[in-house]
Amino acid sequence: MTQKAMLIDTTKCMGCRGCQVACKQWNQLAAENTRFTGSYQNPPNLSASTWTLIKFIEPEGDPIRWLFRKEQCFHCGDPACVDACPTGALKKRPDGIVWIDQKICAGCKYCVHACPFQTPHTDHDTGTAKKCRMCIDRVDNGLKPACVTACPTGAVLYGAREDMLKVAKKRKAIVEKQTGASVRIYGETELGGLGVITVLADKASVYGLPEQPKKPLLLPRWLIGIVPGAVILYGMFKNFTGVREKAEKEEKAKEGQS
Amino acid sequence: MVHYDWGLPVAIDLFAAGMGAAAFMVAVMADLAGSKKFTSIRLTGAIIAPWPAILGVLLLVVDLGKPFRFWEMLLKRGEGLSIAPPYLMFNPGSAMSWGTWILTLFVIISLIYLIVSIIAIPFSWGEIATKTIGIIGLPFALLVTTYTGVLISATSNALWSNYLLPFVFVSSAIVTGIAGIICILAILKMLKLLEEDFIPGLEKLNGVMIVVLLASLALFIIVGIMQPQMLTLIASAKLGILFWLFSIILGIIIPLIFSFKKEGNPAGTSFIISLLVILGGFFLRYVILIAGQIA
Repeated sequence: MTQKAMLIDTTKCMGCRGCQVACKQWNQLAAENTRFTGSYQNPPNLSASTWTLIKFIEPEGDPIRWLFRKEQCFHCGDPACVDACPTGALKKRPDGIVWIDQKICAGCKYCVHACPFQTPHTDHDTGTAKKCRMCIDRVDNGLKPACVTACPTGAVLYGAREDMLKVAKKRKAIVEKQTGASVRIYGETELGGLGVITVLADKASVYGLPEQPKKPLLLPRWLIGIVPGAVILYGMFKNFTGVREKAEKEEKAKEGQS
Repeated sequence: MVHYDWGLPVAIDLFAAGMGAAAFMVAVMADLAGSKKFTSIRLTGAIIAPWPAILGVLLLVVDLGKPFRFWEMLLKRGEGLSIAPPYLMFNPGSAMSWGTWILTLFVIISLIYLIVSIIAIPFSWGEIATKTIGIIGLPFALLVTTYTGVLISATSNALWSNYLLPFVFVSSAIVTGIAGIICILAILKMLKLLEEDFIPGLEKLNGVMIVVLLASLALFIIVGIMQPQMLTLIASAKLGILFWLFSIILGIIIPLIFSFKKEGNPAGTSFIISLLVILGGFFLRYVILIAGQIA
């Protein structure tokens, strides 16, 4: 099966939020009661009923720069959430889609804490974790994800991962030539190659993304607990042995006296 | 009210499972080093060990979004409702999956250990049987104490992912485990049910363990000092007070002062000090868990 991927070209996004609405509609996600936070960004963050949203970024010190980035699950090549899931509800398909089987998820919230992008959220009505599933039901029937279909500028594309990378590289060359900005193709190699590749017109941190996203490592953490623990146990054994030997000596001395 | 994905039930589990497993380790170590000499320590540890871990597991199940699906962590699902080979669910990349099995096995072994410890006393094979089961359970107990740290450390949480957290939780577990045993022994001493008094020795031992805990905490704070959440932990009004007052002053500093008294402490003092240590251990888990979830 060929690897599929989504391409988000922030340099083409105009912040219309058509993708946000299309996602809510197709996945039948409830509206959220939100408040004005001083930005067009609304709701302020991803949640169990908001699987994608446009981040409106106003970099400090530049009054006329206004950046948009579509936030959603990155469908990592090496996903921390799938590693963390103790029930097997989180699955990665051969085509790259990472999804949560709602029939299996027990709601332990470990994926919520494991994800380097804070993508999955707990739905307090169902008790399970939820996030973007790349419109698995549409994709399997030959359609494109709802947000891709809705995007009026072609900023969100879906197809073979190789093709998406080609488009991203072409776009990088054009934007760099036209604006002089240094463009980053986020997701080409990060975390085993993300299933959502983002063309960024600035550093990742400007867009609110970790420059080098990392998956939490397990083995060193086990060792940092087990090794000192074993040393402490040995010390404890020595201590008890010492106490016993001392008591035995005293007893012998007493016997010797009497 | 702010909602924390992991709150009080998880904090109690991290604390209780660690304390029970540590009590088990102390019991086995005393048994291996001193045999019949330390029977009161061994029995006390064996009696404490399973219950906090059982409480922790129950709380974790209740805290699930779907508590009745807890079995999904034990059995592997196939298509539909079928159970697929290899039948048992285990995800080696998941600290929680490890924890599920480690805790389950530890609870079983510590229950067997408790039963054998009690019924085997009059028999000649009793000593070798308890020792054998103790040695089998030892790695599981050590893994339980470590798992409490690894569980929240192997995440993308800025405060928890600190590499030294497992060390902090292991040393804290051992301190609370020893304190649990002192607590019970002190009650027995007050009731004049004990022939030999091991409390001063255990308090000195715990004094050393408290120094190890202090060292691990210092390293934990130094390594994570650049994280804003670390400042929430050590310098914010509410959590900072809980951390410094309950975990550090009442749970560490005061017990440390009373640990190395030459003449030992009266049973009542030992009882209260051991309770302070246990309380401090709980608050340590609680403040770290909550501080990590405050944006």
